[in-house]
Amino acid sequence: MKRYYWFVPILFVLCACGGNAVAPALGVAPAPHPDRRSSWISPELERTQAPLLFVSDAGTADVYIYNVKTLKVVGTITGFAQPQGECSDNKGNVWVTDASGGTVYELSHRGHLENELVQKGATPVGCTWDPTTGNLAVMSLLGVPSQSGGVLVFPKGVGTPTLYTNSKQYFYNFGDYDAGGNLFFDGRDANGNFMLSELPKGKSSAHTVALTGGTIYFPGMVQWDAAKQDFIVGDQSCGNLYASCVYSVKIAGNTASITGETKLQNSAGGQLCDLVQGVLFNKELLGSDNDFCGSTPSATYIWPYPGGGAPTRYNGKTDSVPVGAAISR
Amino acid sequence: MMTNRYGHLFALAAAATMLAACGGAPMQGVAVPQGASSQRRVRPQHRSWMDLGLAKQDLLYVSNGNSEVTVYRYWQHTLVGVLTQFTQPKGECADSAGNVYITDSTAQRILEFAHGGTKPIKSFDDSPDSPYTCSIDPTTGNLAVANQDGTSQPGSIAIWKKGSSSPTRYTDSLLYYFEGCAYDANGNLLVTNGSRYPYGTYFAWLSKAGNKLINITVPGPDPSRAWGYVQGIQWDGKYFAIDDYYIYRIALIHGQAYYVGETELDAAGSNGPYWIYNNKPGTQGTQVVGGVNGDEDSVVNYWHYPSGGEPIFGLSHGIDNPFGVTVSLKQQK
Repeated sequence: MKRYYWFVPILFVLCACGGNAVAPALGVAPAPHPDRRSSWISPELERTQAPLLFVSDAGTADVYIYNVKTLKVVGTITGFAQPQGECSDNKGNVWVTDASGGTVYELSHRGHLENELVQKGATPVGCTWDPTTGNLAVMSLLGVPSQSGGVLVFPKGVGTPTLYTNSKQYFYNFGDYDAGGNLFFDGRDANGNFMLSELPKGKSSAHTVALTGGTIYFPGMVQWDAAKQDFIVGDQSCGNLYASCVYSVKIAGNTASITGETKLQNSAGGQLCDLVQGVLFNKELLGSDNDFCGSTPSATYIWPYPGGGAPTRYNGKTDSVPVGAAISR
Repeated sequence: MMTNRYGHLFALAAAATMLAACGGAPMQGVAVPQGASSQRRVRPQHRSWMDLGLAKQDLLYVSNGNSEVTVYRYWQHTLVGVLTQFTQPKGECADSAGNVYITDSTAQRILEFAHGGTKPIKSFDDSPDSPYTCSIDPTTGNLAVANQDGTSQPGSIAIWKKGSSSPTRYTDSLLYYFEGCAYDANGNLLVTNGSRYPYGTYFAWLSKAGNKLINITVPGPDPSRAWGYVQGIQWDGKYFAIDDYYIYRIALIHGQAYYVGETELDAAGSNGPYWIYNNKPGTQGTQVVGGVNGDEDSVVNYWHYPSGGEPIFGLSHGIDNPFGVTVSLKQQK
């Protein structure tokens, strides 16, 4: 006797027809999240060629589209299960990982669904697109059942992925390619210790990169900073506290050296509670604070980078549990 | 339904119990021959009693529908004591020192017992709320209690800081009442309103550094799955284990929950939260124990964990409509 209430989700996928991209799931029993809203995009988004910030929100199971200049919400995409980290490609499309659904959704600049990649058993939480090959790398936090995660690389962003792992790593979070097409990604070992790994271009397995110059307690964003020729690596437990900061990390051989720290403040001037994934764009760092600490409402911010400190702009009226961020140009 | 499974009493046990009770002395110290305990029948006692020499034994505590808490040697499955100070014992929990906390719903209090003790060493006044289940923060010793006050008034999560006599209460707009709570190894608390179809099962968490409950979505093995019969939450040493007939493991990472895996339990049907046996801190538990109310019989089943499958033992002696269970680990000193 199994006492379950299952329901069959009805996922309407309205591809680029009437503006709506992914409509909400409906059912006859209580849904696992309270999302009952429809997708919408503003006329402003239909017209604009300006850069847009896509923010995934695991609390509402939506993706919000912000005007980067004003941080005004110009669209909401609904119908996700547990949207997580994001990345973008050179077409301006944004990839949104969905941990619970084992899916990665590709959205156009205007929020239309272009493609989806389903990998049963995966827990996608982060992704990055390789400009040298067009491949899409997806970080799966865990494998199911109760197995370590890995990196799934989809050739040209389609088809069947290849799984890559570092045998010493258990949890896989975020990553990015450097200019040479080498993939760096963070996560934790089975004991919960931070790890940074490299999958060299053309290699079949990843190896650990030793971190020097400081301690990162909980893996956050990883992004290649082309201007400085180093990586930005986030720490969601900066100083082993419920606080977030990002570090500049220079790679040399199998060693990653912390060369700088950027502290980030919330709208009240306090330290940020939880920046899961931010994105560097035009010498600014854009991202959201998932403020479970209770100091300020969760909000999406823009800070100067590498200076950090107080945000130059923010929107504190939209987010619930914001997670991922990506820029669509 | 089993209303009274205690038809007989061995003369020696009865005599020893009555003698001790008449003297007004603490019941701890009422001994019976060890060899007889596995066959001994018990009837509802006016006084609590407990065998001696239990410090080096893992003990299983079971809240029963007849208002008694029966106590067993965990591995030998033998009845070694009965606690009778309750009006409606519900969920239970234990700390690393072996102290056992037993919620008494109708009495609106939680009683704390030392490992193998018969007299409470502390009483936590939970009025006007009705305690349902509990959990101990391994990092602080704080006691968290899930309060289920029915539909007449909202419940709460009440937390007594270690050494404090009054709790801090937390409420949530989405969770009208609370039927489950568990701390992880880092002192983060996951809570649920349990199994209240058709209202829906919801979850919230209180971070170690937080000052309010925050609602979170907890995914199951399929994104379309809705939780239906959540009876409780436990920390299995590595992940949260949600008791929804089977056990579903969840990683809670900075307020986000991720599905990890599940354990199928044959002959399940828990009427209250399971307990995961774990005698090695920092590792995953190795057995799961839970009460099962059958059509004609009540048992407390043991299963391997996380492999699950068929029960490896069914404990029925002294069991009457079991609800909460907990294991007090043997004392190391």
